[in-house]
Amino acid sequence: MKKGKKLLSVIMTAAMTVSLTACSGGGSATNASASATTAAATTAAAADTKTAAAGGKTVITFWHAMGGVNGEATEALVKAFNESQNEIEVKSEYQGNYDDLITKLKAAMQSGNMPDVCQMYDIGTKFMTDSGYALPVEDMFKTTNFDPSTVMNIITSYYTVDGKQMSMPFNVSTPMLYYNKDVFKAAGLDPNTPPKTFDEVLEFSKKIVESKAAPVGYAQAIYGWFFEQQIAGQGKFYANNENGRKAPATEVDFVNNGAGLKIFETWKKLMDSGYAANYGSTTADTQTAFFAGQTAMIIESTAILKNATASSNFEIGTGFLPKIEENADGGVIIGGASLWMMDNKDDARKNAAWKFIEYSTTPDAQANWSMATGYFAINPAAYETAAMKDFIAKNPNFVTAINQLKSSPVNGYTAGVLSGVATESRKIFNEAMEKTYDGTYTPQEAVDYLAEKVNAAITNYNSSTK
Amino acid sequence: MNNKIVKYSLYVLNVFFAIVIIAPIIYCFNVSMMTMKEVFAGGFWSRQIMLDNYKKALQLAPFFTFIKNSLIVSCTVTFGQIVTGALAAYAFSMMKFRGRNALFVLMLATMMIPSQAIIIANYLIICDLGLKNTYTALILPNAASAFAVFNMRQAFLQLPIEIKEAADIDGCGNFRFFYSIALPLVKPAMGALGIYIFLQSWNHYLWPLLVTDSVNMRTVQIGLGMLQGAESTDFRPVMAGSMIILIPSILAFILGQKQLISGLTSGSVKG
Repeated sequence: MKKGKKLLSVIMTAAMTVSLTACSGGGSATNASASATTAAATTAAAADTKTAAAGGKTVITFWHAMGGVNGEATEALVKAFNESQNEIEVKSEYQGNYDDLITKLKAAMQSGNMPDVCQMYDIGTKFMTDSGYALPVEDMFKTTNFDPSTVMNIITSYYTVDGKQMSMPFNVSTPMLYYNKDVFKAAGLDPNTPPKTFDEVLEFSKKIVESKAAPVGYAQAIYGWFFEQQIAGQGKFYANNENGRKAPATEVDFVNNGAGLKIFETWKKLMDSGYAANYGSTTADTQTAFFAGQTAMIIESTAILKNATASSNFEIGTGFLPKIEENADGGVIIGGASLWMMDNKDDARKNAAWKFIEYSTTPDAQANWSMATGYFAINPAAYETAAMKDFIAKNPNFVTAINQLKSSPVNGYTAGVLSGVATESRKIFNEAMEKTYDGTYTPQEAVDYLAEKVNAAITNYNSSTK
Repeated sequence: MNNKIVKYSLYVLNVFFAIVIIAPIIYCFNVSMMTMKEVFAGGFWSRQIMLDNYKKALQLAPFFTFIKNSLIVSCTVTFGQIVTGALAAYAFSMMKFRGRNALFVLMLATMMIPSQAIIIANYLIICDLGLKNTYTALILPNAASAFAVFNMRQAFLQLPIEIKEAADIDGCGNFRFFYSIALPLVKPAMGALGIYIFLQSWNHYLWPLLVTDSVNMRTVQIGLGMLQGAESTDFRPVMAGSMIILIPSILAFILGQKQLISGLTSGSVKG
């Protein structure tokens, strides 16, 4: 039944292409002379007409990938900005998830239908920089007297390329440890002392499983982000040229500096102990196992704290991301997404775009955003607002996330890797990790495999951008 | 006696498979009524009748607008594909002309091109034509399909050639034969194809996302996307949204199925 359906859908997809081809044939014939630039000019003109219609206001478009409650918070932010002044009107448009958004933006770049402000996930930073369609936000700092120190250094360091801040962080999170306090109590562990290292994770898991407090002690999704985090945690680089930030990365570094092998060995040992479980590469599945009380500890983004608290039938504890080994240079890398200014060759819209981005960094805007979504406030002053203080007092687990970020040193390791092939690398990592768990590869073989494949991808990317 | 055993065991099997198929939908409905903690407590049934998740879903995404858009698009696409498919298929099966088979093979070959490969090119053309953010953009690229032609051709080929010969002798022209004789006879095939095209169009995601920008032009699947978070998702509004958009597709199936059955029986009576 299912197979038949799949086959049918394959046939149907193929059928669809015909009609698409047919359309493209006719389309290009009628409009062969129209170049992308003319199209851009037409849209720009159309936008101008709209500007006039809105009563002298500059209308700019903002594309984002925020669904659910985050989407609501984004709309609220845009609304607050629109109401805060009467010169600019931001039109926010949801464009699917992160991957859909980058697909749409790539198409829009070709057709000249770019938005003025675009959200882009962390791993799209290199693409955006290389695309040539983005205006570095740092160029606006001087002319508008924006003080960059109002945004936390460790956060902006991720979005800084060649010493220049390219975009403004928007939704920011790091991974941290979530644990089930009820299970900890039942297993005779101190519910206020989470494990700090993976040795402790193993030790705690053993106690939990053997005391039958929970079926599984620890779980983490197979997710390349966690691998990158553990490299930074050891104070090592993922790729050469200081994570690709001094010059474009040409090869991975984790195989030479030994960080990769340590991670694979640690995780393999944990999985082989029988006290930990692997719920696959979909993070939501690991979350579900934790919410349902199957596993006592998981690694997840700090941004799920709100959802986790509401979903679980037990008391949640949080701790710093467990380490492979102690290291003074090590810390966490921020993830999430940032706001980019797109170059539409229009000064009025450029300035309007910056005004909106600047507004998004104000303490009040950040406080509201953080409370509604669970992401960090990028502006530390947000934590001094009365509403935020009240919120944190009610949600003590929030402090763990902030403290972890504050205790991370700002350096090239915690800035994270700047890579044009991040999506691909993470896919290859999934493969290598799965094959390590099922015993096909030894940790050493897995690291070699990962390094070889990622290096090939990097070489390929570099030759295409030259 | 033996017959009865066979009959009842078949019923039991039927019921069993029906339950297997419908269980996920029932669970989806149950989750749409649950509280957050209930979802992860692991129960199948919801403890209460609660419409909060439906309210939340409608608050996060204007589903009625999306349903209206999807209905307009899917109905037009279904109509377009059946009309173009039936007409082209009639020519490919009933009319004889030079290069017919070559043309048909060429058309089938286009089915091999993956849609992802040309979706960006199509997007650029729609932009060039100034059709972005319109119903035309949503409908036009899907108004005809090789699969529909192929499917309808198979149906026409099932008809005995003698009917066509008899019509020719009686002086019945091609269009009249197509409309009054051939088409009514392939009604079941048309019904099945119609359901399929409708559901396919109803489930489109990437194309509508690319060619529309404003929320009032969006379709149902994008609405479901709007309910999902980047790091974690509250699945209850997603399930509520799924239930809302399920209704029109179930209706489409019921309507199409009626066509299908009436077509089958009318054929059998005439023998």
